[in-house]
Amino acid sequence: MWGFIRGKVIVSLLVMLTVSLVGFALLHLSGDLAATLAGENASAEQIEAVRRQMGLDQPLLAQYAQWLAGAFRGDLGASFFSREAVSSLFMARIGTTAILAVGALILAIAVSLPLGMLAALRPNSWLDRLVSALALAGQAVPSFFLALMMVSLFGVTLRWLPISGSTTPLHFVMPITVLAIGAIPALMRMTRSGMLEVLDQDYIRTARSKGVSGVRIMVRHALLNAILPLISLSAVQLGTLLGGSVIVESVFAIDGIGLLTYRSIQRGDFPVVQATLMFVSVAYIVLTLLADILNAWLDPRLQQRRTG
Amino acid sequence: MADTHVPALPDRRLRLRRALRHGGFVFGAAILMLALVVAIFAPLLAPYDPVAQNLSARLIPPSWMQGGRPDHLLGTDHLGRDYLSRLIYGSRISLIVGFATMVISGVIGSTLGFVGGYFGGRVDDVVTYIINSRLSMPGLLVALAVISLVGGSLLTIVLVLGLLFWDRYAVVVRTATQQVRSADFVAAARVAGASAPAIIWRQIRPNVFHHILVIATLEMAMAILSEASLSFLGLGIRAPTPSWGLMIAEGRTYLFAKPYLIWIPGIAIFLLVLATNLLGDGLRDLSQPERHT
Repeated sequence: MWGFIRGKVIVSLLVMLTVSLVGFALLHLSGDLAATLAGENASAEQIEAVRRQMGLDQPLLAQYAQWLAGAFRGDLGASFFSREAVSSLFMARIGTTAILAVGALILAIAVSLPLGMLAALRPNSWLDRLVSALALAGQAVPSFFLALMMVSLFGVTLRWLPISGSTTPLHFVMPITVLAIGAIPALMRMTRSGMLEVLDQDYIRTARSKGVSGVRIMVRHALLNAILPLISLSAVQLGTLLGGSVIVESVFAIDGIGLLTYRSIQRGDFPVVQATLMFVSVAYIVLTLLADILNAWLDPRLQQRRTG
Repeated sequence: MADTHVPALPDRRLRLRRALRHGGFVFGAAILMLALVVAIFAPLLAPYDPVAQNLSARLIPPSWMQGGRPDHLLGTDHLGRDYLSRLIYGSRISLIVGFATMVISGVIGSTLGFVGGYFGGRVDDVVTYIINSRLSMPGLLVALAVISLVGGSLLTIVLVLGLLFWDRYAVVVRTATQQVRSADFVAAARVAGASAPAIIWRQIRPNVFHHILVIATLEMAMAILSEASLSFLGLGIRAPTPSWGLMIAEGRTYLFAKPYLIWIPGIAIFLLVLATNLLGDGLRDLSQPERHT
């Protein structure tokens, strides 16, 4: 087990390094940051002055090394615009975005787990078809369209919910719902197919032939086995939710990491954008690592299969 | 099981007959064909120039609503541009982005998957590492950042999305190739002295192609949604070019007074993405007939 964990951790650290380098290079090679920063009407001299001032005239690898050294000390640089430290900009907003992402994940699991299980118990029944239809619809609706529709229905017509900001718990109802609807289809399909697979195995058939009821089989025998892939997918989804919060936070004017990223992208605030990319990547890598370890712990067979 | 009793039909006709009985497949294919025809013949179908402004005919509601006019079936936007014409031309953006991204990411992802799955060992370790690194990057965020720096245009959007969203192809093709690799006909080709690229192209590709096709539809749907999101956020297609995502962004100001400005392009995106996904589900069901019986 420890060898398995050590191997996974080393690969994860390497992936983090690769991702940070690729992200850094992409942002630097995609456009002239100095020209973006200096503004549209800047003269060539002004652009050069900005370039020197920001250290953008140095070779790419030197800039990256400098950024990386800072990142290891916990220093992610300062915003080009507000001059505030990126880490303090983050700290002020991370709570809001975490509520959104974790809330959406919990809601998504609470909906998809029972629905996916029921659909698997009765394949091709009306319930199964309904679940498939819901998954298809959830997959096809753009999150920003859904958000605007909810604003117009619950915020304006019915006046049940506030439409922008993040001051009360009620402000989080619509954004969390929109994010959750984005995550539900994949989770629901995974639960259904995982359950179908488990239900087809010999020990379940044995239990069934002995007259154990469907729901009892689900809970006592099948659930744990079907939950393994779900843990991994939840980790993946949490990363996606953090990314998806850009759209949701900008529609609902919620001042979290997503809105910060969107504004920073718009004005070329490179240190903030790089930090966000890194933040979401690291969150994803750590979560999938934890999911892998948890899976290997719950199902020791996986340790052999993946390391061998 | 019923299929075993059907008198032997030519393979293609059997497949077609099965496809026509699959409701989702037929619906998806029909909508997609309709969108394709509309996009190709947009200049003939659109009653007006999609970017021509008419400030004396601003914000006319659709013809079936009060105040609607028969000469503007879906009404006009805040600049008096005919909404039906903008919707018709907008389908071009969605379909071009969908198809082009699907092809670019398909070539990249399938190649990686073939190479990793066929060679195995160290080569596969490298491919897996590349896939893991890509999966760890938030696709939409990277796309937003890069497109905003390079400047939004149809070409940048297609290139950036295509270079980013190849991960699912790579994962699926790699696994499928691993399963085909040890088959007898692959071993036979190897013994006969065929080179690795030749084996991958002639023996393996035809046998994993149905997997690629299913992923292709999912990626196309994903690309269409991504373009709409990018354009909605103001970092994709630039005004005045009609893109459905951009139309929603422009209609957002009138969300309370004129909600149809958002409904119309929103439903268009929904239907196109739904149709693409249904087509993919149908292809998957049809390529695994044993699941259906």
